[in-house]
Amino acid sequence: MRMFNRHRGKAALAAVAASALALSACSGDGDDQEAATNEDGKKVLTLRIFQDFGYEALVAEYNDMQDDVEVVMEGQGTNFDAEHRPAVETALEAGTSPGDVIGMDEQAMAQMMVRSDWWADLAEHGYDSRASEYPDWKWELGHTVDGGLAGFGTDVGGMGLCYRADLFEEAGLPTDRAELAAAWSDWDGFTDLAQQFVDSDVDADFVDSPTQLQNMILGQTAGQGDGQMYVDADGNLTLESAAVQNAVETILELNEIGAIGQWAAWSEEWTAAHAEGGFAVASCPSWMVGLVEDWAGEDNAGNWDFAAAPGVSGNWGGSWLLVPANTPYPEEAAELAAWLTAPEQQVKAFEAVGAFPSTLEGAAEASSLTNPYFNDAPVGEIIAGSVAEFPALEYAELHHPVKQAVEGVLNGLLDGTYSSDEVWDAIQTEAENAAALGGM
Amino acid sequence: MTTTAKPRSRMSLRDRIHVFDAKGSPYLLVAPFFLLFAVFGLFPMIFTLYASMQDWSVRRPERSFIGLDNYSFLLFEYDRFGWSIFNTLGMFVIATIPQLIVALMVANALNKRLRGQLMWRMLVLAPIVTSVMAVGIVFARIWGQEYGMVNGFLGLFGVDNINWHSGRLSSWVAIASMVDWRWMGYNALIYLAAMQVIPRNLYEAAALDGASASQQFWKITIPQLKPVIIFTVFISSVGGMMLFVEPMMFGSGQLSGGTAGQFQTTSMVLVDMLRTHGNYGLSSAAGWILFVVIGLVAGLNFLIINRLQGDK
Repeated sequence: MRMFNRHRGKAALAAVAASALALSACSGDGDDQEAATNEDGKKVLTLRIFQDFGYEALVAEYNDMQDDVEVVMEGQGTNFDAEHRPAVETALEAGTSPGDVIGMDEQAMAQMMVRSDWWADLAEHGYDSRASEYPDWKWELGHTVDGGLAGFGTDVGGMGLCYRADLFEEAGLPTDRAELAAAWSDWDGFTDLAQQFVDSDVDADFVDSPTQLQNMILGQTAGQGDGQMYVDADGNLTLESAAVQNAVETILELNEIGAIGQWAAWSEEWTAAHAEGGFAVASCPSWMVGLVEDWAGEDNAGNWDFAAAPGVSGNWGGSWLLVPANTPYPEEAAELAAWLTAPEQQVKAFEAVGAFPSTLEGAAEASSLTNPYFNDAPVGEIIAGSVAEFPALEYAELHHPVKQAVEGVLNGLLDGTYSSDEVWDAIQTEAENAAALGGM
Repeated sequence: MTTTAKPRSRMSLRDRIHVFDAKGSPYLLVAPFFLLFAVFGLFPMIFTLYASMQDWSVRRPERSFIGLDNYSFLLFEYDRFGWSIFNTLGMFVIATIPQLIVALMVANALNKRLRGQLMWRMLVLAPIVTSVMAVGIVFARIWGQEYGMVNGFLGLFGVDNINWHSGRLSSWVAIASMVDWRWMGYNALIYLAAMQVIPRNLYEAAALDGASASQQFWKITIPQLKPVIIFTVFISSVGGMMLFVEPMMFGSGQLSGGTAGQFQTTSMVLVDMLRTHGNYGLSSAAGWILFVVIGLVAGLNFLIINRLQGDK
């Protein structure tokens, strides 16, 4: 009897093990994606983006033009780092499809382009010919380490500052954008204005957050100099680079006079403060323009204005549309990505959300456009001016995680976790950790 | 030998089915759970163990075996990991102990004759059916520095705005408030159900002997609830050690848990390694260490509760 039961036990265990194996074996076969079609027999393409690319109207327009393709846009409004990028990475690593066309932030491009096996080579579909439409650096960044053309650039992060004209007036500062641009033509001038604003006792911070400032100065200094930021391509930390020194020291100086607010970028309070008047100045790369308008809302129309940034030229962010290798419709996906990034559509996206065109023709066209929400500021002209000499930034593979770790320390400076003296040590420790976790 | 074997082989099909029904069907009935567990529990655990010994990053296609390196990095080199266990335990303690005590008191109150008894019981349970994301978003606003309700209220008494995120203890209190709001009712309901099966005559006899309400509570209710209290402590331990969404939402969806990891739980470190750094190996190792820690904490709590009440 006991024998009998023990046998059963073993047999059951074997059956369980076998079925577990069978199931895991099945899941390993997922490389060939099933081609999706809708009830009309149209090929369904998934366009997976984050935040807001300004594509709603464009996708509808594209669907009207197509007989056999239907584009479905997903992911609008998702956070890039918290949701979008991890989801894309996990899907591609697991061999499933994250979508047929994928939006990607420029700062994560280096780590994506290391994985040549993830991306289709659009040169095979004849899209090499688009090279002349883009500035060289923007075109080059879209290639994997093995030289495949993974996708096309959408916009560039031309730089400006968004400022609250009403708060400036209250503080007795100039409110005219040309006058301001002249006053803060460099960061010393910016610091002077910050001091005046702090002295005026207006109940608001001068500038929103240390991390937004850091991004701006980092891109400017690196672009105008040796291009070096936190970490090099081999994973070695380069915290002594001009860009990092400049960014952190400027923040320390501004913090010393109490000009920076404790608004952690992308927190609920930070977005709310755009409407509440929590701060007077925010770093505004072109893609922030649309977000500021969304967050500040109709009630604040006319309060926000837009001026050229200190140091003027610079580049922060911008995005890409990539085509993964495992899409069942590489041809159609490439066509969609190419259409959305053509100059004409880039200008429409600029009008919708302020993302400044990365194609030469699109940039020329967009530079004449003004933005009614920002007191009809010539946003196009200011941004075009900031990227006129397009400093080509090289983002290292570990740039993004290391920068995020440093941003934690900078926020910690503001909330009192670190004193000014401790900041550099903390940056060193956190950056080393991030590099170690990145496995380099 | 042969004589005993013969009748067996002559068993009719009916008999065989009957024997199988008696002996085999219980296994068939429990099989679905174990099959599902094998696929969604056992296999992932074993695969995670395998992954934890690999140098495996999404940043490069190849991976390699590195033994226990990931474990030693977490335990001896990466400070945030040790702190995260401390944070998790700290939040567990300041969230769970008040939660269970309040739940017990609420259950005791609900067990009395009340007007609108059903309504009260429903209301206590309501927080559980709300989305934890929604709870996180609402509470992040309540505890906000500039526009938060708590600081707004304290401001009425002239208290300056407090940055709840920056301190270890202050952030724990804020997060514990979320956990407690959501789970207190669940535990209260379990206690209430257990209280209702305690025989009435125990209380009647005690009342006749002149025992006060609080004596009845401590001498009858609590000892009778012992198995249920052990159950809730066990469940809270496991849940508390896996705390994730509440602290993440409190930190605006960031996985770093404050500017220096003040409220970064072990689950957040685990997910941070996976999502921010794409390091599957380290993340898996963190998962296994967390698994062991949960086992230890749950076991320890069981021993403590068992000892505390064993005397009564």
